[in-house]
Parts: sequence; C-alpha cells; structure tokens
Amino acid sequence: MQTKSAASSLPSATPETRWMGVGHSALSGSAEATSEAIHQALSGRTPRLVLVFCSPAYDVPTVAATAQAMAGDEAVVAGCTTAGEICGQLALSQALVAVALGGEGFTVSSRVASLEAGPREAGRQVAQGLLELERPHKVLMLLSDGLIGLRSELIRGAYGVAGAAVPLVGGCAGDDLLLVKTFQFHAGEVISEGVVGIALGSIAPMAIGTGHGWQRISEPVVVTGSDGRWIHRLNDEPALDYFLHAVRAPAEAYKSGEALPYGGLEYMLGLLRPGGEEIRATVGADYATRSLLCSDVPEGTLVAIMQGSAEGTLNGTHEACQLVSQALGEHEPLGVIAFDCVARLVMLGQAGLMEELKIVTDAFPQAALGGFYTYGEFARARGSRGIHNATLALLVLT
Amino acid sequence: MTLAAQDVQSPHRLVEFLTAISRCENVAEAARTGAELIAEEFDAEIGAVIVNDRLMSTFGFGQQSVPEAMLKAALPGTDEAIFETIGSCHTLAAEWHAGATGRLVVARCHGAFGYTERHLLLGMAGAFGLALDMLAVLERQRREQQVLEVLLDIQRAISHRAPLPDILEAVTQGASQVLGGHPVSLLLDDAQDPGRPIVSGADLSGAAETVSAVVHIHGVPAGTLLVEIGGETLSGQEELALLRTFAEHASLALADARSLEEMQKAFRDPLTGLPNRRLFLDRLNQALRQQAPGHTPAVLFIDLDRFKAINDTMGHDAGDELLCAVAERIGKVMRPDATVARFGGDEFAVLVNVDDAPLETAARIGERIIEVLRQPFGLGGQLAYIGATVGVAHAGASDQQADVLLRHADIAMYRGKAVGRNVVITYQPAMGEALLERQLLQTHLQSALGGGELTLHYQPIVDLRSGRPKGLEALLRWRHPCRGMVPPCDFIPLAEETGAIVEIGRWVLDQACRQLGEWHRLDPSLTVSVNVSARQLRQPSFADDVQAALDQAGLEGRALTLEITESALLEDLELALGTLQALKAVGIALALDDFGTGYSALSHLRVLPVDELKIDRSFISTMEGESDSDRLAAMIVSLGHACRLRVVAEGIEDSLQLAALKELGCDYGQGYLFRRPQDAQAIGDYLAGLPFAPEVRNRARSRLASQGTPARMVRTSTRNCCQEACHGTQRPSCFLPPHHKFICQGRPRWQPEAEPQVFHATWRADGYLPGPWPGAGGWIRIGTAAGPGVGGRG
Repeated sequence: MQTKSAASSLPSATPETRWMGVGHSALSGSAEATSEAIHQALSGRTPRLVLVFCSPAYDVPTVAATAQAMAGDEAVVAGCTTAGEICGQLALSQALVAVALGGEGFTVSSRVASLEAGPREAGRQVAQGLLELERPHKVLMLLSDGLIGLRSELIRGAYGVAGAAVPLVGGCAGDDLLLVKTFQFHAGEVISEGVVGIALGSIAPMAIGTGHGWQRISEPVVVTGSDGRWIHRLNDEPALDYFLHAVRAPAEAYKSGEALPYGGLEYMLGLLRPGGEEIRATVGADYATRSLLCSDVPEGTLVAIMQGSAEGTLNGTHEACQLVSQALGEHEPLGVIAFDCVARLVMLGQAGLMEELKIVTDAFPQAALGGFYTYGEFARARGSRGIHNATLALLVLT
Repeated sequence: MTLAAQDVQSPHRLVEFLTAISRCENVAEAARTGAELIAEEFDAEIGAVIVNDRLMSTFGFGQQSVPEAMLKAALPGTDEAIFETIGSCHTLAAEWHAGATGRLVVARCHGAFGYTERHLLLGMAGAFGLALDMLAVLERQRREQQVLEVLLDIQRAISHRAPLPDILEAVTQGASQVLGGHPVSLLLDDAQDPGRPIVSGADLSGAAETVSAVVHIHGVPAGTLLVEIGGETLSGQEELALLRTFAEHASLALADARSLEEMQKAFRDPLTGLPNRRLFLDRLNQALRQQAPGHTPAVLFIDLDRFKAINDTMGHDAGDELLCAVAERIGKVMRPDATVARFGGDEFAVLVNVDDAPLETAARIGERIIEVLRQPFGLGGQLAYIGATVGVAHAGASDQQADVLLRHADIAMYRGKAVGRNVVITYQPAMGEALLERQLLQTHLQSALGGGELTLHYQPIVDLRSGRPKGLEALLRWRHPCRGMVPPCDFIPLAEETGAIVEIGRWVLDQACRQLGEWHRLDPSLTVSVNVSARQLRQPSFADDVQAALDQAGLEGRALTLEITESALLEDLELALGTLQALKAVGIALALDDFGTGYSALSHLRVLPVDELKIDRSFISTMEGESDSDRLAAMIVSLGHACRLRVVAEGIEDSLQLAALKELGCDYGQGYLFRRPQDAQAIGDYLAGLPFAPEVRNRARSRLASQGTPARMVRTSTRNCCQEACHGTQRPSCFLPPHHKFICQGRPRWQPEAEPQVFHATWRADGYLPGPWPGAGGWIRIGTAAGPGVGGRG
C-alpha cells in the first residue's frame, strides 16, 4: 500500500484561500493533454490535490507521471480511466479532465490498495488516510476498479474505518464501455484492479448528494440465485427471462440483447431499501445460462425492475443538487466533483447531457465542475450503505 | 419512488438477513455480519450486537471510541441517544432469549423507526439468536472434535511407541492449538541436574503470566505443563480442564516410557549419562538467550583420535569403557555450570560461559581437555592411548542461533583434524570459507574423472641389492583445469568422503594394470602397486573389479600388489579378510602401507594375509644412525623378516639412508634418491634405458639361437642408444663402438622416417626383431662384416 499526504498548516487560514479549478484537453498526446488540462486547472496556483480523469485511449503511465511532475511532490495526484469526462458544461469523450484544489484549509492524504487481497481489506486500507486528518470536515473519496464487483464489501471495509461521521463518495473507473480493463493511478504509479482512497479534510463543510430518477415498474422480486456478480434466478425463475418478461421485451430480445432499447440500459434493478431504491445496473446477459450480469445483489435480496428515461434522469440530477444545497445551506460552493453513471449518459444522449450539466452549473453557479462518467458510484452521507448505479453522485466543496 | 410502509416485505428481508447470517463460519463472524446487516437493512448509521451483556460487535463508529455503555443501555423498542461523533440518533433495539440472551441495536440520524421496522428487528433478533446458538453449538462441537483429534493423535503416538520427545512435542503443540494458539511449554524435572529442567515446546522463561498443570510419573510430580496467557485470561474452567487433560496425556506418555530414567534417555546419552545433542542445543539456546554482559557462551566440539581402532581391536566393551572414562575426565576439568554432552560415536561437546577474554579462556579449557585425554587409559589391564581435537566457537551477537554456533565449533574441529591432531582450533569466519572451498573442490572432483583430469604417476620400487626396479607404485594425480596440480592430500580424503573413491579406484586399477601390461614387454618381472582405500575394500564387487583389471591387461595376479593402510583394514576386519583372501588366491600381493604410524599390532601381522611391509617415510627421513627412528626401522625390518614378509622403505632421499637400510637388510626401497614419481611416458623411457632384464635377454637369445645365426645382437632404443648383448656378456657402452660397421637389410622398422645412415661396423646386420612395443627400438641381428651398409638411427 502506497501512501501520500499533502498537509497544510492548521486552520488559522481564511476560507477564501481555498480554491478548486478544472481543465480539460482533447489533444492526442498523453503528456501534452495532461499538461494542458492541469495547466488550466492550476492557473498558476499550487495544488494540494490533483485528480485526473482520462479516456483509456491515453497512455495512462504517461498521464500519471506527467500529472505528478506538474503538480509537484507535495501534492496528492490520483485518477482513473473513464467512460467519458465532465468539465464544466462539457460532456467529453476520449478526452482528459483535471480537477485541482488547494489553498489553506484543505488537507489531503491518500492510500492505494489492490483488490486482490479482498475488497473489504482494500477498503479498510485506503481509509487509513483519514486517521491523519485533523479537520472538522472530512470526506473519503474512492476511485475503484469498475469491473470486479463486490463493491459492497469495499464500502464495508472503508466504513468500518471511517465510521458514520465521515461521508464516502467516488466512482468506479471506466474504459470507454469496452468492459475489458480499467486503470487507477496514484503518485505516478498505475494499477488495475485496485482502489485509491483520497481522504480530504477541510475547515469548511462539504456535502454529498445523489439522485437517479428511475421508476419502479414491477412488484418486489426475490433474488433466489446469485453469486454476487451474476444473478441466476429471480423469484426462482431464470433471471434473464423474468427480467425480459417484466420489461415486456420484444420476442427477439429473448434471443439477443441487441433487440433491447439502449442496449438494455433502459431497465435496471433497484434494491428496496428504507431510504429508497439503490439502483444496480444490469450490464449484460448470458443467454446460455439465462443469467443477468448485475453485481452486488446478494442472494435473498428484495429487488424491483426499474425503468429509466431521459426526463427521469434529469429529475435525478435536480434531486442530487437539491440534496446538496439543503445540506450546505448558506455555505458558498467553490467546486463540484461529479461521478455520473455511464448508463445515464446513454439515456440522455448528447443534448440531454448538456442539459444535465447545465442543471448542475446552474445550481452551483460559482463553483467549478469536473468529474467523469463511471461504471458505478459511491456515495454515503447517511445510513451505512454507499454503492449505486445509474446515479449521479456529487461532492460539493465550500 | 421510495419504499412505502406497505411495500416493506418483512419476511423477505428476514430471509435475506438469515441467508447472510447462515453463511457465517463462527459466532464472531456472525456477530460482525449481524451488526453490518442490521445497519444496512434499516438505513442506519450504527449497528451493534450484544450477547450476554457483552458487546460483541459494532458497525459505524470507525476508529472512534465505541460508547459501549450507551449501546448496552439501549432498551428494547425505540428511543433516542446522542453519540459524540455522530450526533442525535433514533435507536431501535430488540432482544432474544435462546441459549444466550442478546440484543440487536440500530441507530440512525434521520427518521424515527416505525412499527414495521420494530417488528422486523424483533424477527431478526429472534432468528439471529437461534442462528448464534446453532453456531455456538457447532463451534463447540468443532472444537471438541478438534480436541478429540489432537488427543487421539497423541494417544496413537503413545500406543505406537513414538519417540518420547516427539510425543511431548505433540502434547505442547496440541495444547497450544486447542487453547487459541497460546504458547505452551512442558518443563520436566531432570533428576541428574535438578536446577535445570528439560524444556519441550515454547520457551516461556520470559512469559509475564502463565497457567499451569502438573505432570506426573506414576503419581509423582515430574514437571509442569504451562500456557502463556499474557494479558488475557483463559475463558473458564473448560480451558483449564483442557490443559489438565493435556498434562495427563504427557503423564501417560512419561509413564509409558516406564520411568524417568527412560525419559531421560530421550535427552541423555544412555552410555555416559551426559546430555545428548537435543538437550545440549536446548541448554545452548537458553545460554544464548540469557547472555549477560561480560559472559560469553562458548562451545567446544571434541573429536577423539584413535578411538575407532581401540574399539575394533579391543572390543566394543572396551570402547564403551573408554567413552565413559573420557566423559568423566572431561567433566572433572570443567566448572560445575558447564554442560558436557556426548553426541554419539566419539564426539563430545562442552558448553561453557566464559568471562573476559573469552577466546583465550575457551582455548585454555580445550587445552586442558586435550591434556587429560592424552594420559593413558587403563582398559582391561592394558593401556590405551588416544588423543583429541577440539574446535572452539564463541557466541557473537545475542541473536546467534545455537545450531550455527555448534556448526562453527564443528568446522573449527574439522580444521584441527586437517592441520594435525591434538590441537585446539578456534573458529574463524575464514574457516567457513575454507569449508566452502573444500565443498567446491568436492563438486569439481565428481567430474574430474569424466573430464580426463585424473592421471597416474609411477615411482619405481627398487631392489636394494641389485639396484633394479622390481615394481612401480601407481600414484594418483589431479590436474585441475584452473587450479593446476591439486595435492593428493587435498582431494583423496574428499573422494573417500563422497564415495567417489570407489569409481576413481576402479579406474586407477584398470589404468595401472594396462600400463604394466605394456611395460611387461620390457621386463615381465615388474609389478605394480596400487593404493586401496577402506571404502573400496568394503565394496562387494572389489575382488571382481581387481580380477577384471588384470584380465583386461593380460596380467597374472602376481603382477599386482595392493597397498592398504592398517587403519583401513581394521575398519571392517572381517569383511576385509574375506575380500583379501579371495585376492590372495589368485596371487595378488598385499602390502601394509605406512607401517609404524598407526596401531601396528603384531596380532594384525599374524591374522592379515600380508606379503609386504612398507616403512613410513617419517622414520626414514629421521634416520641418523642412532636415533629412535633407526631403531624403529630396524625393528620393523626384523619384524617383517621374522614374519617372512618383504620390507619396503619409503622416502629414501640420500645415500646414507640407503646404506643404513641396506645394512639393516631392508629388501626394497623407493624415494627421490632413485626416482621421483613421473608420468607413464617418462617412466617408460626410464625403463627402456635400463640394462636388459635377464629374462628378456635370455628370451631374445634363445630366439636368435633357434635361427642358427651368430649369437651376437644389438638392441636399439628410441633414444638413439644401442646396447650390445652377446653371449652372456653385457657391454656397458650404450653405443656401438665407432669402428664397428653393420649393414641393415632393408629399412630399419624402428624409425622408418629416419635418415638412412652409414655405420662402419665389422658386422652385418642381417635381421631384425621388433622390440616389445612400437617406438621402443628392437633387436638387430649382427652377422659377419661385409663392408658398409645402411643403418638407422636407433
């Protein structure tokens, strides 16, 4: 496990000195693009944290090394590959976005761990950075591999260290929807199947908000067969058939996933919880075993089929913004980091995406906005659960 | 759309909860999972599991301190609480009463708990209590099963009469295993050394807190089984009962070993009563751990010299008596706190704690040991003399390993053996390197034979009366591709150690016999002497190998002499006698090598089928006319002749020594005075240059005579020298007289490429008989003078 920390002197500093900046680049050269985006984000300031979200089309080791070199040895530099990037009102593809923050009043500490030792242990390890922070407000940001599953165990491990007092937020790395391999990087080192934990401390409040806007279209269903990654049976019927029947799929869809609108991303499962449904993306199907690829749905769980729409998705965006605004009250946001599910990108289309980002920037007009399209989101502001799909998770700094 | 109250499918959520709990392996995991799941199910920040008023698990406090009292105070039903790090919370608790009594507690910041949730948690608590009871039962059963299996293994070891140390080790390991991995140690009273118990298992000398159970032998306390509990406590009577059970099994094993005496056998040498290697290492470990400033543990490794010979010649009882006497003598020169041990055979070790200037002190102790062992031992009315070589090693760093220290002392002792016996050698790191070097050499030696690096040199054994060689001793040489010539004393002992000597010895026999076969054409009376090691002699195929070598070279048995040292013969006298008698039957001679340096018992000369005694060079080199060596040499010569043996003196280097030996009537000799060992080519040339052996000369003469020609002939050799042999007279000149002329019929065959040359001779060479081997010249039959002729350079 590698560690990194960027401490500052303690809170005699004024809040005004805190800042967040974003930058982006679509240059094809990895070093050039990284350099351009970070240059914009820094605007000559010295950062405590630089996050870089980039398409896997870039040479990730070059991105990681360049970012660390530009940010300097004192700064924590981390990031991951994506399924799309967010910078202000721009929803980008095959590009690179940098988010930088700094100034007195912020403290950053980070850890990286491999998921090979087990997601719970990895979660426990990357949360250790929190122990070094002595700020009144803390948040733990997780950037994890998005293809491995068992994120619930990762969150349990992190929550076991962070406890209820520290919100969790973050997203799962993507690979431009190739679903092959994602990368995470930290302090110049690039890994896969790993997780980076960034403990962020501030003298000012930070808030987390989530929203999805999906609608239940079925009665509760019991997951009667699941291995944690694949759902084999729903209500003791083959999961794929039950799912297709519930979404009134055309006859051809029983033979091939091609026949489903939006490649099947229009429908998902929702775990029924007291605080609302937690969406789980059905990202694939095995037509031979009639199973659904849908992680983190344990056997015995009660779920419902959920339907998404462009309108509902935008409602979810409003919901996330409202939750944050309520939580922050009078505190002035200075930056927003968005972890937006790639499924929402598919639902919204280009026009819808711009609308979604406009909703966010309108909600926090003084704040810089940066983030990426994910393969799953982390957000826990209340309760003890924190994994989501098809959801927009916002971290707003003041 | 949020989950409305009517949508709450409590039974399903209960099933989900139970499904997850049922996957748990043990109570601890179930408690952890339970706390996590109830927090997640109720969208709460905090989950807690309390069993029998003990807080088993919590979820949601992170690294902050857990408000245990507040959680325990949460009564069944709903309430409110303020937690320091989280703030104001609604709480919900539900109890269960099964085998154990317990409570599930959840707390959340947002939203009070409704009645549906109260019912759900109540159901979960009931189910959780039942699941926990079941897991506790399973866990107990598993543990009982584990205890039974461990005890069964120990009982099986006892009934199979496994070695006692192994059983005691199994007792301590088994007890540790079932007592949650706490270290366990067994301390047994040592009747012969009451202050120092014998330790099996973990070393708990530094343990802060232990619990113990007494171990008995036939009802008499004999030791203690200890478990370290550190800051913890053993959870109850059950664990203490388990410890006692293991102590009883140790008692059973000890009783089964019949007595404490039997037990001590496991740790003591049964012959001398001294600690054995196991106990010695245990004591050494303790000494290293408790090493105080100014006191350095040191190990002396002692190896007796000549013990084996005494054991073989005087019998095993005498050998045992000697070992006991050695043990007693070593003990007497030691301080009471020293540990003297016997490792088996003639190896002893001493552990001492030396004060300042440890090197000198330990070396002095070693010298004292050598001195007391040098004094004669009275065994069955006879005096026996032995010696000892001592290796010393001192503990360096406090974390030094006992076995490493012992190995260092062993290396030093080994070094002492190499440099000469009866010495004390202190370990130096370079010795380890020397050992490594030796091991490297040993590795190379394995391939030396295949690589053609081994060769034989030969040294003539000369008849002291005639001055003619009667035979040659074959001497093994190793020309290493990188190191050059490796001295025989460096590699032959290595070959013996590794057993490579068997294959090498077979090659030497083959090679020496084949070479002699060639030289027999020059002189059929020559013999070859080959050195044989004890290891070769023990090979069942040795006699067959010797016969095969003779057959292959076309030699008779009498052409071969096997040289064997007395000590090699005595290593397994019975087997050696059988083999040697089989060899004697085919005419092979036996020489007793290095006679006078070993045990040189007269009885051996009577029993062994010896033909020849070889006086060691050490006696010859110190012959001064009236010295002890002169007298010893004279005695050996007389002894040999009295036993009708040939006597060969080795290492004759000057004419005075030769004259003295002649005077004594010594039969044969070898040494630099005659010729140093040389390769086959050089020795072949030397042999060819010698005057004809009578047998050869007679044979040639009779062949010439049978052809009816004048019996006059000359011999040529490759060295351009010719000798004349005519009618029984031998001309001293090497060359034909200049005024002689001869004519050779046709080109001489001995050097076809040679330039023809005219010789002026009064005879005509009219015939040619080839010599014994190509290039060695031949015989030219000389006829009457017939003018100039064409000859060849011989």
